[in-house]
Amino acid sequence: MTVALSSLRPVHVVGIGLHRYQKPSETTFVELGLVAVRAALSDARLDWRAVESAYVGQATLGIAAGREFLRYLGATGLSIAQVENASASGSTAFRQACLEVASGISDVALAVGVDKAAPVSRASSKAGIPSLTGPAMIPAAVFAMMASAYMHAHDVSAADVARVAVKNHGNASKNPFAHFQRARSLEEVLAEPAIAGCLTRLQCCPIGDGAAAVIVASDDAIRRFELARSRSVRVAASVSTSERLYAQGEWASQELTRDAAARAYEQAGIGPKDLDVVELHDAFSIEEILYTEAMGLCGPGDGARYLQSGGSAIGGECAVSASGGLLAMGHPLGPTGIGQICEITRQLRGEAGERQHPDARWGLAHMVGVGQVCVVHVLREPDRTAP
Amino acid sequence: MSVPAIRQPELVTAPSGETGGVKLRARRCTCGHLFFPSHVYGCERCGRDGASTHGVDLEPRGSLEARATIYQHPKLAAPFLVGRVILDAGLTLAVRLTRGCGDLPLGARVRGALVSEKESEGGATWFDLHFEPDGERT
Repeated sequence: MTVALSSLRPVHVVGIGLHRYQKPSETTFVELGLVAVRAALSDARLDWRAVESAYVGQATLGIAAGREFLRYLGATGLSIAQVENASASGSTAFRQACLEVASGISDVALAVGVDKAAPVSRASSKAGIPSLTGPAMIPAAVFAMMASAYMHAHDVSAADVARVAVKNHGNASKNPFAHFQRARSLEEVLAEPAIAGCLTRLQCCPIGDGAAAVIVASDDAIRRFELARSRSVRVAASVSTSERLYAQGEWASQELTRDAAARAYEQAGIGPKDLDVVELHDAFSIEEILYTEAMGLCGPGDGARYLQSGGSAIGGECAVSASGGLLAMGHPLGPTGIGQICEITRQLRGEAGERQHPDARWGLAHMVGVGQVCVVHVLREPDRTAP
Repeated sequence: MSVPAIRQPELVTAPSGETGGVKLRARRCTCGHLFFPSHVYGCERCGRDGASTHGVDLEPRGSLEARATIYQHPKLAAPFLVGRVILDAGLTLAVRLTRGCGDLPLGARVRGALVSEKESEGGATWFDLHFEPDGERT
């Protein structure tokens, strides 16, 4: 018999930290990672020696990246493991850290994502199975095709899709950790060079350098280290799925999202209308429209209208990508999924400053990775009556 | 007409020995699951190993479900067209499209055709399978 995360020991996010996502730089991954972890320890008011286990989400650095930077916090002998799951590497590292604390094996665990922009090689190219399209089918091509089918089916324009980038670049302009920090008008987004189909440059996420860290802890650890329960965010659901066979006309990433979100709602005992903040895999603008539908934030075919009516704006029904999302906060691979947890935690604590969504109680983080995999977490607001 | 030099003969065959009559080399499992590209690793639907699958050549005909012009590509000369085609045989396929598909409405009929690439490799001309509007050669 299996159990859901919510029926194991409670797991709480107690510390968050980021190194700004940025264009490819001279900064070493060691420095990037250390900045994020030290920020998370400081946020939690926790000593490094309390951390028993570290999961390091990364995709570009090569083997054994974790100890190469964690050693400089003190070589405590903690458990270290690297986690690679394509774009969902960080999300999966976070999940592993949560499961380790929930199971009782550790009281305090770290999930840290760090990466440097670099070419990645895909195992699929070594599977011995040729492809009809060869290297032609870059991610932008796949999502531009999805956009064409969506626009055709729902009478949606290229400008309607581009509004995702306008919202998310606007949100990122208020995020000091974002890769891009400049608000853009619809005209600016549409005037950028086209990459694929209707997707202009600002509708495709930047891949650069960055780091993000999250510390998770048990109730025992919160008591023992006298951590602030009023700033501790409960992890209410953790779901990890991979592609099945889908019917003709269905797109794997949208179906994966539908399935993973439904399972996460069930674990957390909520529905989509309960969500206040969502960070989702908007590597390309069209994805936000497709996934807000797949998550049930709006009805099928209503994604563009939901966006345009302000439903997904900060202060709307549910703030989607308040951080700026992958489109504007950026997508440095390993850090991305953990950066989402940082943003949601900030929002649920009410510490998001200029980009705070009012009365945020429930948050959902979602990443899709090539392969295809999907990882979803649900987080719940802290008990503010607690010390 | 001489026998076309197909760049990926494991994917595409022209049994008649000409650029017409091109077929996709797919595979079917005893459970009925049809898949492309062909391999003998096993069946994604039922998990049977490759010995339970057999080769089947498919007509590359279907309807255009999605399309995109690629304007910038890290490796290939752009622009070019890609698309997703729902084959009559029951497969969904990501494909290259000929320029003639640029204005084709989604849902329109398309068919696979061997297209010779302008660049030559070692002096030889290679043929790739691209999809074109059904009923007219471009």
